[in-house]
Amino acid sequence: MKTMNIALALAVAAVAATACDNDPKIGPQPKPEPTPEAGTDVRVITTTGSRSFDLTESTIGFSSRDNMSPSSIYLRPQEEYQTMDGFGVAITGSTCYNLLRMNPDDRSEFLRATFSPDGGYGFSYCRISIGCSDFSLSEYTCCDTPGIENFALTDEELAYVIPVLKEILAINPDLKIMGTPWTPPRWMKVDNINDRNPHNQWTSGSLNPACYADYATYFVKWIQAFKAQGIDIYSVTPQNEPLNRGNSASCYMPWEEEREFVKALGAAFKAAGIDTRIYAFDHNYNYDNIESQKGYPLNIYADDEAAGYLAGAAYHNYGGDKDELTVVHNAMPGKDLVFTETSIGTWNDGRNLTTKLTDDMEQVTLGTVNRWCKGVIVWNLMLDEDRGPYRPGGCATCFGAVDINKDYTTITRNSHYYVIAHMSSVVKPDAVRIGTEGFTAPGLTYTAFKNTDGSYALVLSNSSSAAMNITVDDGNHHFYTEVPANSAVSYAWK
Amino acid sequence: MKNHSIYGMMALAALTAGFTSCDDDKWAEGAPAIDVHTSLGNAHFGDSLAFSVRASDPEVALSTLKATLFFGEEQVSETVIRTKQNGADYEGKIYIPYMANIPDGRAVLRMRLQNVNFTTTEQTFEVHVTHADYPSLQFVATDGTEYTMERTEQYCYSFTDRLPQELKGHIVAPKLDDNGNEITFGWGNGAIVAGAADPIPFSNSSAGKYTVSFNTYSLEGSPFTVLTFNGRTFSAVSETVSAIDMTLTQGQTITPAGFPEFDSWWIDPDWLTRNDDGTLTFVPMGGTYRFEADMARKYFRVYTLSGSDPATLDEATGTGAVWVIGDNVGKPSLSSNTVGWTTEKAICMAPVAEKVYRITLIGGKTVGTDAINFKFFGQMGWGFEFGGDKLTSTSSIVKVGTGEGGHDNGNLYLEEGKTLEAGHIYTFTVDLTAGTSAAVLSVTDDGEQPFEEQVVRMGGEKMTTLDNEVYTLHTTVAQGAELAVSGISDLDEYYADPDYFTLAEGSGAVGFNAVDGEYLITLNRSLRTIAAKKMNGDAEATLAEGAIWMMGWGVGSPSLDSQFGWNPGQAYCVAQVAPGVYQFTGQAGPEHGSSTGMRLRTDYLSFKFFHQNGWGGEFAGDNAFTLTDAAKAYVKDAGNIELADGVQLEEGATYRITINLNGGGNGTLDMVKL
Repeated sequence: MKTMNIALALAVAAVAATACDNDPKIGPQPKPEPTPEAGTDVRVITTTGSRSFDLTESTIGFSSRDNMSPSSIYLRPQEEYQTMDGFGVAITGSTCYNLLRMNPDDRSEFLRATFSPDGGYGFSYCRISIGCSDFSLSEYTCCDTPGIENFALTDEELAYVIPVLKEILAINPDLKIMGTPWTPPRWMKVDNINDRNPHNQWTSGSLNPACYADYATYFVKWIQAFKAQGIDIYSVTPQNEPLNRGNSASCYMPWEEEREFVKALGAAFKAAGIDTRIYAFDHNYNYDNIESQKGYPLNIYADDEAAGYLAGAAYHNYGGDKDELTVVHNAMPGKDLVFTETSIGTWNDGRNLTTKLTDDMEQVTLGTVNRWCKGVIVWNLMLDEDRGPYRPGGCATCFGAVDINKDYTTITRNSHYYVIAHMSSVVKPDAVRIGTEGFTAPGLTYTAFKNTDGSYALVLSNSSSAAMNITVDDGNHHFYTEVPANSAVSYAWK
Repeated sequence: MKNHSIYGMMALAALTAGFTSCDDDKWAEGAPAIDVHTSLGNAHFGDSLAFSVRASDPEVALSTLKATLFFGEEQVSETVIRTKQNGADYEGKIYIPYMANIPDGRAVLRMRLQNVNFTTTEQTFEVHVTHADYPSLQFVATDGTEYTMERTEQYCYSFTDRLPQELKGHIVAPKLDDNGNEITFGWGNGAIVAGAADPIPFSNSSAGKYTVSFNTYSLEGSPFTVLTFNGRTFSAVSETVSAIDMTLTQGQTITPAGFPEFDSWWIDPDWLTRNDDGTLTFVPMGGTYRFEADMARKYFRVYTLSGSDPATLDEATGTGAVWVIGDNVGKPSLSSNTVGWTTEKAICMAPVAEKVYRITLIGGKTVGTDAINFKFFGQMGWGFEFGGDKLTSTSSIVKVGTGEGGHDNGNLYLEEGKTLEAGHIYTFTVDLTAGTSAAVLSVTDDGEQPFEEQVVRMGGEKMTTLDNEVYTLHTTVAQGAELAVSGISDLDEYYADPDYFTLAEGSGAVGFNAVDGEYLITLNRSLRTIAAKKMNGDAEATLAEGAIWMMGWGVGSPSLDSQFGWNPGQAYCVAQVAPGVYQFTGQAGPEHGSSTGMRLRTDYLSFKFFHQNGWGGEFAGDNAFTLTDAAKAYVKDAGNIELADGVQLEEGATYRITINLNGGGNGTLDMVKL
C-alpha cells in the first residue's frame, strides 16, 4: 500500500509537470554533464546483470579533447603477454542432442549468432569428449571391444557430435577443437598400476601401463577419424579430471602415471605426423587437496621427455583459486595454460545473472586470461530446462551456457554465454594480450588485446553497484565511456 | 489511514506546485549573461586559478555561478559562487588538481551562470595546464631534518645523503606565482599523492649513503625496498608484513632479495635453511605455501595453502595442514610473538611426509620450559581440533590432556615434575597416517642448539666470527668508501676509530678515511668498537707496506683503560690518511676511568713509533722525527715521545698527532689541539 501511495503522488506530480511541457515560459533544466562523443569509431557491446543491456551493441566516437582524465586506462601494446587461442564452450553429446531437436532454421540462427566471426559472437574454441562424458547419451568409448583394431566412431559421434560440428565449422571454419576422454576403454583399465587387476568399470580405476601404447593409438585413430570427417583436432588432454574417481565415467591418473602416458602419446603423435597439442592435467586449481598431486603439471614438466610433448596444462575451477595459474606460469613460463571447464548450476545460483555475470567475468574469463590462459572454454553450450540430458552419476544440477525449453524454441542465455561472447566478439584468435596501465577501482577488472588486424580490444567488468566513467587511451586515440554498474562491456576499435 | 492522508497531501502539493509553476511572472526565462574579465589561458597543476566574472540578468534574479574544470571529459574540480547581486563582479578561484600521470594539456573550464528560474548561460575556456618546473623541492623528514631535492632533469628531483634504513617524511613543492600553492606530497592509499599528510615511508635495503628521488609527473619516488623471492615480488599485507605465495618442491633453492639486514633474520628451520651464499633451501614437502615476511620481527611466517587460502586438514585423508594454537609457544620467540589463543597467529606445522607434520621448538626461546599449554587444530582458527580422544603422545615428558586432572582436552602439558631444557631443540611430530582420529604425537630432544652464527656484514662482505662477539674482515678497501654495516642494530652506539672511520649517527655505515689498501677490520660487539690495521697478505704490514706502529704508555684505544704499553705484537697501527701521512687523534683523559675516545693521558706520555708491530725498526735516535714547533708546545723527544716540560694536556680536549714522512729526512711529528 505504501508503495502504491507514493506512486500515486509521483504520478500526480508528473501529470502536473507534463501540463507545462509545451509551455514556453518554463525555464530550462541544467544541461547534463558531458557524454561520450557521438561517432562510430569504437564498437561497444554491453551487458548488465539486470539484462537492461543484453549484449547490446552501440558505438562511441574518439574524443577530440586532450586526454587528461585521471580515470584513464592506457593500453601498452609494446608489453605483450600470451597469444590467444580462443574462447568457447563444450559441445557435449547432450548439447548436440538438444541442438538437433531444434528446428533446423532456429538451430542455424542460434549457431550463426554464437559462432560466426562476422555478425555473430565468434565463439572460437570448443571442447568435445573422446568417447563419452557425463553429458553424453550413454557410457561408451570408441573401442569397447577389446583390441585396438576394433576402434570405430560410434553413433553418438556420427549422428550427433560430428553433424553439429560440421554445421558450426561451416559458420566458423577456424574453430579450434579440443578433445578429452573421460575414460579409456574399460579393457584398458586396472584397479591400480601395482596390482593391475582388471577394472571393468566406467568410473575410477587406472590406465593399465601395458595399454599405454594402445591407448596412444586410440587417440591417434580418433584424431584421424575426425580428420576424415573434415574436422581438425587442435588439442587434447590425456584425461578429464584425472584426480576424480567419481562422475559417470572417469579414470584416476596421478601425475606419475600421466607423465608416463604422455610419453607414449607424444611419441605416437610424432610417429603419425600429428601436431595436435597435448595439455596436461585438466583438473582443479587445488589438485583436489591431494598432497602428493600438488603442482601436478610441474611435476610432469620436470621430466624432459614428457615435457617435450606437452604444450602446457589445463585447469578447471571446481576447487582452489585461479591464482594457481600464476603460480604454475611463474614456475614454468615456457608452457601454456588453458582454462577448459567450469559450470554453472543450482549450487552457484547459476541462472541468476545479477550475481553471476561479473563474478564469471572475474573468475572465468578475465580472471584466467589475466593469469596467462590462452583459451577459455566453459562447459555445456546447451542443456534443456531440466538440466539435461545427463548421465546417472554425472552432473544433475548443471545449467548450460544457454538453457532451452523442452519445446526446443525458447533459449535463455546464462552468464557463461555472456562472458564468452564478451571475449570472443572482440578478441580474435591469435590476438595478443597486451599491457595496461592506469585507472583501477574496486570491482573493476579488465584486459586489453591487440588483434592480428591491428585493432584493439578491451573487455572489462564492473561488479560495483555504481557506474564508472572511464577514458580508454591507446596512445593514438582515446574515448570516453560510461560503464554501467554490474556490467560487462567489450570495446573494439582500430 | 494516517499514511493515506499524508500521501493525499503529497499529491495535492505536487499538483499545486505543478500548476503554480506555470505562473507567467515567476517563470520568466530571463537572460543571464557572463563577462569573464580574467585571462584563463595557462595554469600549473596544483594552482588555484583565479577568475573574475561579471554576472547579470536584466529580468530574473541570479542564482549561482559554477566554474567547472574538466580533464578530458571528466569533471575534476568545481567552484560554486552564490550570485546574489545582479551586475556585480564575482571573484573566485578554482583548484586545478595535482594527480599522478596526467599529461600537460588543454583542460576545459566551463563557466555556467544560472538564474533562479534555471535558465543558464555558459562559456567554456581552454586552460593549458602544465607541470611546474620547480628549481628544487624540500624533503622534510619526520624528525624535522630538511633535505633539498635538486632538479636532475624534467620532473626528476633527488638528494643523496647518509640516511637511516627507513626515512619517513613529506616533500614540499614551493609556490611559484600568484595562482600557485605550496604543495605537500605525502602518503595516501599506498602511494605518494599531493595533499596527503601522512609521511612517505622511504626505505633502503640498509642504512648508509643513498639517494632519495621523486618524480613530479608520475608521483613515484624511491627507494622503497622491494622484497623478492626468486625475483618475484612480495605484496604488502600491512605496514610491517608482506607476503608471497610460492609453489615449491622439497630442496628447492630460494634467492631472497631486498630484506633489510637479512643476515640477522631468524630462519625457521622447519621451513627453510640458510646457505652460505645467502640463498635459502626449502625444507618440507613440495606444495604451495605462503611466506609472510615480518619486517618487525625479522622472520618468515610460512603456512600451507589451498588455492589462496590457508590450508585446512582433510579429516578423511589426513592431508592438508595442522596448526598450533595456544600458550607457551611462539615464533620467532616467545618474547616477541607468543601465539596464545589468538587464532590468527596460529603456527602451521611443516608437512615433512604424507600426513606427517612437524614443528621444531627451542626450550626457553620458542617453547616454555616449565609449562606448556597448546594444542593442534585442523585450520587457522576454531573448528576441527585434536582432542585427547584423537591424539596420543609417545613422549614421557609431553602429554595430551583428556579434560581430566586439570588438563584441558587436547591441550599439551608437561608430565608432573618434568621440564624442558632451556636451549634444547625439541621436535614435535604429529603422525596422521593411521587417521585423524588416531593421531600420534612424538617429541624428541635433539640436544642443545648448536652455535648459530649471527651474521654481520660490512660493505656487503660477511665478517668472520667464532663467538658472535668479535668479528673480523680482511679486505681491500678504498679511501672514502662507504661500508654499510648489517647485523648490528645499535651501530650508533659504537666507537669507530676516528682516524680510520667516520660514523655518522643513523647512517648504518662507516666511511673509510685511510688510504686505499688491504686492512683487517675488527668489530667488537662487546666493546662496541670498530678498529683497523694495515695488512700485507696474511702478515701485518710494515713501514715498507705503508704502516707504522705505536707502543708505549699514556696512549691507548679506544680509551686509556687499554693503553698500548710495550707489548710487541699488540702495537697500535697508526692510520695512514694520505700517502706518507699518519694520524692519531684522541681526547685527553685520566689514566683510570677515561671515556671511550680518550686516547692520550693528560699528565703522562711515553711512547714511540715503530716500523712494525714489535721491536725492530723504530723512529728514534738517528731515525727520530723532527718535531714541529706546534708539537714542541706539547711534547718533546726524549727517546720516547713525552710531554714537554711543565705541560699537561687539557682533559676532554682533542689532540691530533700527525706523522709526515714526505718532507725528506726522518719526517716530522706534529701535534695540535683541535
